[in-house]
Parts: sequence; C-alpha cells; structure tokens
Amino acid sequence: MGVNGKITVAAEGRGVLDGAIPGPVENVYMPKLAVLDGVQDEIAEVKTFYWHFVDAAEQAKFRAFRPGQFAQVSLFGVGEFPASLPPSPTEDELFFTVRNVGSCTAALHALKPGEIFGVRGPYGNGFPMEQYYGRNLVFVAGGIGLIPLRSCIVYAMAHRERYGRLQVFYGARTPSDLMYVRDLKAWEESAGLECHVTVDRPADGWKGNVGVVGSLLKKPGINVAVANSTAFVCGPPVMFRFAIKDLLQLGFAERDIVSTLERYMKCGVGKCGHCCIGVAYVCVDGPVFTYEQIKKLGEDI
Amino acid sequence: MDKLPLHIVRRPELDRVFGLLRDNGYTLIGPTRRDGVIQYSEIRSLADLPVGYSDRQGPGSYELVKSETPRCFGFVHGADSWKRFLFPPKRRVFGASRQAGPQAPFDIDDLRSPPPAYAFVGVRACEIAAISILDRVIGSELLDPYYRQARDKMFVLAVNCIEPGGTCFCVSMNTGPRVTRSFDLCLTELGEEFGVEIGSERGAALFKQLTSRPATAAEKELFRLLLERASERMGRHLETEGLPEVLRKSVESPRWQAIASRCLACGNCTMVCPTCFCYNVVDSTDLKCRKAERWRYWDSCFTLEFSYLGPTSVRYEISSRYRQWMMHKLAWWHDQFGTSGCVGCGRCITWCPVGIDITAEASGFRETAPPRAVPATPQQAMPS
Repeated sequence: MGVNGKITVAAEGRGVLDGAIPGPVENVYMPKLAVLDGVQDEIAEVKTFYWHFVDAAEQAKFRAFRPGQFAQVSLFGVGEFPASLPPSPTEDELFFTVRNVGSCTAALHALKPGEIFGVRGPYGNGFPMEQYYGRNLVFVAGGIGLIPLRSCIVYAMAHRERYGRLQVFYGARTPSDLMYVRDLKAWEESAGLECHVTVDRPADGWKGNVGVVGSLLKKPGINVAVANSTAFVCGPPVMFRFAIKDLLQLGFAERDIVSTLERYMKCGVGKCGHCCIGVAYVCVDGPVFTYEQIKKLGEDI
Repeated sequence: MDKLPLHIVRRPELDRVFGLLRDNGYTLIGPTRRDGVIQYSEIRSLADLPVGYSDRQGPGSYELVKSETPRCFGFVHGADSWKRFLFPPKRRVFGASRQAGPQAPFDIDDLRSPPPAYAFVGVRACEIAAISILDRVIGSELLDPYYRQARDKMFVLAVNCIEPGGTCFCVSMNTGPRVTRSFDLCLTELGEEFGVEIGSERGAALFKQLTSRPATAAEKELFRLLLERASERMGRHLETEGLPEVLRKSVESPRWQAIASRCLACGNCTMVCPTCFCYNVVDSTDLKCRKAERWRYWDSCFTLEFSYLGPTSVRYEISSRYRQWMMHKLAWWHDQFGTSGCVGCGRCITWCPVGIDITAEASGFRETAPPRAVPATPQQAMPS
C-alpha cells in the first residue's frame, strides 16, 4: 500500500501459496558484506557511519533506495537493527546515523574504518516523492528526528524545480544537540530553502532562536506555507504530539501531515511481527504514514 | 450423502499406509502419548498411536484418560501443532566466520538444511485451516524457503473429529469438524474400520494399493450422523458475526484491564496457537569471536521484550499485550491477511495456566455492562 492508499491491506495483496511455486527462493535474511569507510561525530552518543558494499553490484542495486526507507544493519555475533537511510539517493555516499542505545548500536559505534559489517535492504515504503510534485514541503524535526528527514530534504533540494517552497523547522534541546550542523549551515545559506533552527536551552554564544520547534511555526515574520503543502514531522513523542497540534491549527489537513514511525524490527520484511501496530506492519506498510493513517491504525503509536 | 465417495478399509490397513509412505521417503509424524499429553512426534506403526486414549480438556486443564472404546484417534490435539514442523521453534538463519582479524571478510554460509518430506498423520480440520492461514502469513510475498519446501512436500493423512474436545469451537470459526480441503487421504473411525476419503492424486495413488471396499448406505449414514453429532457437541462457542467491528470499538475498554488482572503474560497461548507466527532473531558467537550464528526463535507478543523500543517497551502494561494478541487474532488479522487468525482449536484456552477463555472474553466486549469483578490472583480463583 502506498502512503495515500488505504490502511487495510487487501487479502489478495498477500498472495496465497497455491499450486506450483517457481524455483529456489533467496534467503532474504542474508546480509551483504559492507566496509566501514569513516566515522563522523554528530552529537553526544550519535555518529554518522560512511560505508560501502564489498560487492559493487550490491552497491549499485542498493543505491536505488527512496528517501524514507531503511535498512537492517548486522553486526555479526551481536545482532541486527533497523536504521534510517539519511542520505538522499542523489548523493554519492552511503551512510547511517546511529545513536548508541543498545548492544548492536554499541557494536557499530566500536567498529573502526576498514572493518566489516552487514547490511540488507532497502526496506519500507519510503516517501512518495513524486506525489509531492508542485507542492510546498514543510519539514518539522526535533532532535535526531532529522535523521530520516534529511534524505527527503536533500532529495527535494536536488530536484528543486519539482517542488514549491521548501521550509525546514528544526529544534534541539541545546546547541550541542543539533544534528548535521554542516548541512544546517548550508541550508541556512541556501537560497532554495528556508531553514529555521531553535534550541530549548541556549548555551553561551547562541544567537539563534530559543524555544520548542512549534514556537517557530507561530513566530512573527515566519510564514508557514499551508495551502498546497505537505508537512513532514519527525522527533521524540512529546515534540510529535505538539507539532501535529500546531500544524492542524495552522490549517494542515491530516492527510497532508506525514511522519515515519519507529519500531525495533527483527526481519524488515513483514514476517517477525515485532513492528505490528494495529492493522499495519511498520516495516512493509510504513515506516512512512500520514497522520490520517496513523489515527486509523487501531493502536497508539 | 449416498453419493459420498466413501471407502472402507480395515484397521490393519493403516499400518500398510504407514509402510507405503515410509517406502516413498516420508518421515511420519503423528500423535503419540508422552508426558501424559498427546504430542506430535515420529511414528512407525499403528502401535505408536495412543490407541484407546481419550482427552478431557477445559480452561487451564488437560487430562489424558483411558477410554472404553479402543479408538485410534479418540482424542483431539494436545498442545502441539503442525506449525512445529513447518515453521520450527528454532532455526539457524546463517553462519558467519572469519579466520583473521576484524578487516578480514566474513565467510557467510547459508547453513539451512532442507526439511524432510513429512507425512502428517491425524491432521484435524481446524489444523488444516491453520496451515492454510500460515500459507497466507508466512508463505506470502517473501516466501520462507524452509516453510515452502516443507509445505510443498507434506502428505496430509487427515482425520475427521467425531468427538470434539471441551475447548473446541471449530464450528464457530467455520473450520470443522469435517475435513473438506487440502488433504491427501482422510480417515473417519467407523467402529473397528476406517472410512476413507481421497483428496488428491497422491492420496489416490496410495489408496489404490490398499485393500478396500465401497461404503454401504448404512455406513455413509453413520458417517453423516457422527459428524453431525460432533458439530452439535462443541465445547465452546464464539459468535463471530461483526466481532472485528465490536473489538475495534473496544480499544479503550476497561475489560482489557480486567483480563490483564488474571493474565500472567506467560505466552503459553501464543506458543500453542497453530497460527501465531512471530519470531525473534538472536546472534551468538564462539568464545574466540571467529564464528557467529544467527538463529530465529518463536517469539511471543506477551513478553515485555517483544515491543522493546529504546529505553522501554511500547506495550508495557499486560493489558496492552493481551489486547494486541486478541485484537490481532480476531480483528486486525482480517485487515492484514483476509481471514481470522483463529481456527477455533481451543488450545489457548486449555493451556492457559489461569484458564482465560478467548470465547468468553471476546463475547464480553459485546456487553455494554461493566466487566464483572474478577479475582486478583489465580490462587483466589481456585475453589476453596
């Protein structure tokens, strides 16, 4: 199902095993070997990992991913975890940005350039970027919620002529919690996009906005594009709830607010059941959902 | 009923069936008596079947008893289901090894061995329905190669239930008691003999090698009566009309809390359910960290770890876990797979340590009155 499709998955969409089935089936759970090229510090406990596939053919195949998709990252002997794909397919490099939260992510953080790990994917529906042609795109991100949205922002910049106004509203707790500062700087200086950054608690020398990200949307002098616009919201649960409220108040329709949901997935292909939220499996029916769809899942996110 | 293509074979012919299946390379799996329960395990002959045993099942209780009639299949299923063979509780996904340091590439081996050709003996109608659901869930989109191979090769020697169990409700779920699809041969115990129906070409080829005779009109009538009587003697009933809608409207109901006050979140119901399919994936290494293996295990949505996300779990409360299980089984499964996730086998009722009855709890959501007061602990639920 697409992002603007029905939530309910048609039974025939999940075909029935009947009659003869063609040839041997690939082991979809088999990761492909990848090499870590370099590591970039982002914020405390969050790093960006640049990598490439050992097999050039795998690299070429993988690069056809869509903004908003994800991959399963394998640390052999430790485990596997789902990670957003922050690069845009229009960029040359592949990378993950990962917070150190558990044993698998810790093992990735301990990896040194040149070392081997595993990747399989890309998985998930991704953002239907072609459905947004001609529309204004409003990105509202909090903290590391910028990771999944970065792909979409960079993609829209690379295809600037296809979209209307591009606005980024980004908030973090403190200036040292701001993600992708090199990108933020470039975006703030770019003529093709309006980028507004805020922090909850300023540190010495901070000259920018202070307040939660929602406050930017109502700030005098800021004119949020509402008509013919799609808003993208990613961030911690509290920020998500308030940002949605703010966007609805501004006049956004529920179907024009888009987010990506997060679950710890074990398979990525709709089989293990871990990412089931009501009628949907985040890994195959998402991770991109409209707010209208999220409300109809049948269970709290 | 006169046109029913029913054949009669004498009981010892069953041993010939087993022999012929073995000669054709099948591994025979059938009901055996082990630890006081019917378990599905490898069998070789009629003598391995729990002949003369019957079972008494109720919420949270199971007892295998000697029966007065020495029937071959005078019991229904135990905790086991065929899922254990088609979708094993533990499977190695792959192995990775390397001989040198961290920059040496891993050798990744697909260590999966192909499944044997199974002949399942004594498969009930509800269990055939369960396999058909697994086909949709596991066998769709991305096929699980092991499941697919096991499923393609399997021979189904089905048995019609003429004595339903105390927690059975296949009639409510429209899955039984009569076997009507996806079988090779189907047996019905008619006294000392078996009525045999043929369900496939493979079944017909095997049947040709047996000594049989056509059923008489009286035997066909007996067949009809036995199955009709079985339908009328279901231990449980679940009204399914409009049930998914009733449950969808009950997401915030206080009844979930009432159920959770009894539920131990042990996960038994998900382990014995013939359609529950969730799994976990775990890596392990040798002590030198040269070899790693990735394994898949059955998982349960009743564990706290199942919905682990960052610092906590999404379904922290037991009520939200029970709700996930029942809503998924009886409501969301329809949206996801076009069928109910429940076949009415009653295993989750029998094997629940505190006897939570899915038929009673689901019906409860139809009532507008507040949930009945329930004892806080299973001990208090025991008769004094």
